[in-house]
Amino acid sequence: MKMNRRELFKVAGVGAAAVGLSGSFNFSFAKKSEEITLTKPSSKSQRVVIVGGGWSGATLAKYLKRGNRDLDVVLIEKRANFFSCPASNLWLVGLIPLEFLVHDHLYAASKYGYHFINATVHAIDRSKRYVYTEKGKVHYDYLVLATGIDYDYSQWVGNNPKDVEIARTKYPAAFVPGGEHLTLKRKIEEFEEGNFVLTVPPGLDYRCLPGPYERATLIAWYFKKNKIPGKVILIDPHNDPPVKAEGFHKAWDEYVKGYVEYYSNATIKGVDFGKKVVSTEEYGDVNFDDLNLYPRCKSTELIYNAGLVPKGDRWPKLKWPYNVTVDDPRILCTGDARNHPFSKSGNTANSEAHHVAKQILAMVSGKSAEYMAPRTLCYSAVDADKAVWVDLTYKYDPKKNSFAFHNVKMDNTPTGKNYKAYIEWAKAMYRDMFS
Amino acid sequence: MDRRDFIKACSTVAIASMLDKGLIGNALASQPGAVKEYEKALLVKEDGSPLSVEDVKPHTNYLFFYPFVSTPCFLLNLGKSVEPVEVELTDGSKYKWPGGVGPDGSIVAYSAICPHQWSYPTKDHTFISYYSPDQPSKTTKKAGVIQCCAHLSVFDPATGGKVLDGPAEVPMTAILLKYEEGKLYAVGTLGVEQFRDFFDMYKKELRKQYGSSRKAKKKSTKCEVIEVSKYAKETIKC
Repeated sequence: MKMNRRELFKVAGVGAAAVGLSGSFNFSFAKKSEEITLTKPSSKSQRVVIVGGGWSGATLAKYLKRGNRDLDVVLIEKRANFFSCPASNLWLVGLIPLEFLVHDHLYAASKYGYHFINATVHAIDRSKRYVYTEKGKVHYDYLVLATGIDYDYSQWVGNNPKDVEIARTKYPAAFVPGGEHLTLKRKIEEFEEGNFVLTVPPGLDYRCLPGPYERATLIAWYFKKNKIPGKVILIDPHNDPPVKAEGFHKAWDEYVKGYVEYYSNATIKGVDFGKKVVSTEEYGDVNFDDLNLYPRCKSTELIYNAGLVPKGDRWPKLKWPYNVTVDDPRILCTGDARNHPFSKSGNTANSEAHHVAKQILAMVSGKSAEYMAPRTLCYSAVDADKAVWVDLTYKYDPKKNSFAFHNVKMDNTPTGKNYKAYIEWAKAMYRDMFS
Repeated sequence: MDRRDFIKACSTVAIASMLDKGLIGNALASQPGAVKEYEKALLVKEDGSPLSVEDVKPHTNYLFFYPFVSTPCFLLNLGKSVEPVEVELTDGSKYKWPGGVGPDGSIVAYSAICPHQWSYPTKDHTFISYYSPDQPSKTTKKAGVIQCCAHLSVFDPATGGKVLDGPAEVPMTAILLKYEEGKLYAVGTLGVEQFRDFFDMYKKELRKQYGSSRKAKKKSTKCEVIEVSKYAKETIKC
């Protein structure tokens, strides 16, 4: 049945006035408008809706409830289960089981008393303060968009839908869990010979700065261990890994020597899926037998459609240094959905969420909270049982209105103890979010 | 952690009048919300005989289980008298930590469950441990501290377990010790307890080690003290 625009408004059951708010609401997604019945702790409870149950959203839901039991917290996540991107490189090559990465939302929701809705948010009505899902709409007093990243293929693949579809399905980046990860794991396990090419996105606003380097190292380790006559080619726009470079170079020069070629300072001009070539200015055409194409990152469609991303930008505009959006004081963006000068990592998202919880708790009480920067503790495996790490926080200078790295610590010596600490780091983070 | 949460974390804390002042002491008993009294448990050596202060070598990391048979604690002789201090939480609430015990006032004890994300010493390994003055952390360069390598939280055993560095938001839970006629006893806890989270998060592990959650939650009445290095196969330092 074809539905005209007027009928669609009727079914959506929302006033036409909402249309006036630029980018605030896309009616075409509002297929069902019944309000989802959710019991509030009290009639006076304010409601915080969190979209996205990743490292940021899951942490935030728990600590909002721990901070104020009278607050009504609703976590909406499109996946039924949590699948961790941090530590997933270990799983890709068989070093940890899938159960290590996968966790459920229900236990924590029940224990801490927040609502968990397994649904996809299609649209936001900022004027009436509703989010729309396929299961119905939910009203909010404050909305947190912790929706993670999306991929921007325009730079290397172009805008042809067919090419973008090939990139998304045949060569997924596997930095958005978990179907992409399953595909990549199969590719690694089924690879027989030749060039396995990986790309690193340009800039520093992609998810997990050391992720592509750790992945390249571990795939090389896998090839070496299984005597696969292949090599990993890592094409990188940076002149060196932005973090833990010493540890990665040690691995490439010693542990997996001969299995990794590192093409630094590369300018990727494009990818030809038919010819199976990544074209670069500095290294010419690089042939691939298989490819893990990780392009530039951007914020998610929901945030774009809500009118929160300025034209020409890829991230929502926030009231620096806070997470509140410039366009709407009741909407915050957290985790990898925003672009602060912090490494987009699980630890950053988790620690930021602890601080944002305090900000929101203050906001709902009509108070203000002191800004606190997140912390980035980040481990990378450089061999099957060795890891390196970096730990730092960020200091905000109100006079300069900028951040500087603060209290930087690192251990670039690959050791077994660091690897064990890596595993415990992840377990502890999962405990914090889900136990 | 706000005040309400803090009070809740110490939910079993009775009002001061219900505490045994003889056991806890008047000063501590007047800190409702921070002090919790448990069984009075004698600290003993591996052979079961009472542990003397002389047995607690300075700057050696010892372990015992209190107030429950599955909840590990660090026992330390800091080698000098440790004075009482006031400990302040992030919500502004405060409590007074009574300092060290023993003839020199140098013996202190803390729950070994990291108050950040609950890492604790197991028989396989421990990520949290004491760094003696002559063996500073190569990462933080700090010595005479308790440090957890899971996320680099650093605590000061000489000032009530205060957070010196890292992501922890609350101090270590202090174990209240009593020194009587040459013997050491554990009598209670001071500060924000982590036991409820601990029992909830490690159900599987505790069941495996102790047979059941109920058995793991049994109160300690006598605590065997051993060196951490003898309990855990590997101490992860950082």
